[in-house]
Amino acid sequence: MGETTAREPLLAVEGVDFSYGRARVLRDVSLSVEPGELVALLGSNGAGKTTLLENVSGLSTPDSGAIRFDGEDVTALAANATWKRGLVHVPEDRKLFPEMTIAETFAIATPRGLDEETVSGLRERVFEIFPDLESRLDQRVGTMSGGQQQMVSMSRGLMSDPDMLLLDEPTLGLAPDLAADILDAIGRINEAGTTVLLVSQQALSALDIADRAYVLDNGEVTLSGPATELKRSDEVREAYLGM
Amino acid sequence: MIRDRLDSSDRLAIVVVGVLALVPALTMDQYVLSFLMLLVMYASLAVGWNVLGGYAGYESFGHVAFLGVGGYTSVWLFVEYGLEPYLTAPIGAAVAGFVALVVGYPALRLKGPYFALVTLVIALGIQALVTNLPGLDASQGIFLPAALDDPAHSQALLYLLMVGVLGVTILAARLVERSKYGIGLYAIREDEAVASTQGIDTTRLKVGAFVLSAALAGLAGGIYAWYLGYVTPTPMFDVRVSILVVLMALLGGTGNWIGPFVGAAALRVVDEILVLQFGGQVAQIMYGLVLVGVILYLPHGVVPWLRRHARSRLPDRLGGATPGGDR
Repeated sequence: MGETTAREPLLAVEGVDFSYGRARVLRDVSLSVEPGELVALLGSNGAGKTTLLENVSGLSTPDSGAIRFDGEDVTALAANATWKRGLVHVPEDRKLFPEMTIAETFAIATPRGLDEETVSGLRERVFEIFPDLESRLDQRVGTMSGGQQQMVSMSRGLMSDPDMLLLDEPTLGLAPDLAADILDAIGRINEAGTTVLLVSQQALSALDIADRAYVLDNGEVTLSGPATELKRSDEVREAYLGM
Repeated sequence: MIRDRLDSSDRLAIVVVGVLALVPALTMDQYVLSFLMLLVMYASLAVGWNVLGGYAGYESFGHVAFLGVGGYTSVWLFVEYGLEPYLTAPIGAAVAGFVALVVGYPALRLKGPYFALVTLVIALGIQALVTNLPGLDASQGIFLPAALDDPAHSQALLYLLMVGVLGVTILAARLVERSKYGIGLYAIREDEAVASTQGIDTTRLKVGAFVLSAALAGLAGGIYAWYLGYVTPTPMFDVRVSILVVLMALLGGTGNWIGPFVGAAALRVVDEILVLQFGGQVAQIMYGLVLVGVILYLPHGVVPWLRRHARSRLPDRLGGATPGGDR
């Protein structure tokens, strides 16, 4: 055949609009994430980052536009359906079930029908990234610190054996050293092959580990490009880094 | 070893059902059996209601509809085909489950007070439908013969069948509590949106719990109709039964089967004592005050309060029975 086709992005958001009632939250948002990439989605509070992630994962449906994951139109799919396709949302504020133990939290996130060996492999992978959790499997999540809970939240996402993780503000509210540990873990998760779309208000640290980034302002993509370039951009430094 | 797989909650269930089943061997007193019959029926209804209302947090105020559907199905099968209650009650359960499947999909799109209100309206609608079904003559009431020729033995037999219904209901509740399905329902109760991001098909789980809960009520209704002997829409679709079942579960605590069982038993005992001591109307007022007091001061229910109290005195003696713990 001899024809070469452009590689299709793993996630493609095309011209998405979304409103809460009369308040327009997303305006013609387009972005793409290639397989294996770590892409940051930056913006101030209220820029529409979380809403965009909810549109992508199926917690809400765009008013117009399209979302494609691995070549499939997932615009109208519910969150449990996108999860089955390997697109896994790790929500803001961790949103764990405090009465559950870590083992139960993992059990609920593990896809059905996996054999014991695969499940054990997923667990080992989680414990390689978050070794602290291995000895705490029977501990109730509600009794853990904020940093530990964030680890559990991300581990829950990893136990779903995702192709892509949508991470919403994973470092929010954490002490700087814990936030650095979490970002380091995100980098390792990505290096191990999981594509990541990382939402963060903390632009500088997110750009440190990202390949590329998009900046969302008032529901619109205002800047995009390689993380190293955005980090040098005066506009970004002024608007989002306070420099 | 089965023993290894049974935890304290399972063993308690076996003891409770076993003791209740032994009662007719100890006494055939009509008052005792009729009191326990209602206690066991309400316990079955409350434990069954809790599968959706407690584990998933969808509090239905129309549970009596499924008791009525099960009861009338059971009676209709006898009138038309002469079938015995142990055959008609399971069919009544299946019909109640099917009705829940049909109404569950639209109703379970709503939450909280909206869901509660819709289930109440659905129950009234089903009552009106059954009452006016041509050929059933439900509004006139339907007489049933005793299950056995001897009334005392008939009462004991129906009581034992109701204890069987309670056993089946607790077994179903335990299977849900111990399964990934139960953890999924708990996740729905805590945060439905997050549950769906964990791959949980929330609609399927909720409808499944609603169907199971309804079928268990239908099973109880099948036996209850025979126990009453004269079936009219009033007892079989009495909205007060729905409210009472919700109160029983909330009173005991909704985290596992034990709370609704204890709540049902406690309310039946309190109700009986108040009626005997003070007569109907005064008893109703005091009964209401007791409920208001419990809801105000023990909002999570009596069983979780007792458990916490016992834990503070005897650490590690009592373990939580459900993945979700008590509300």
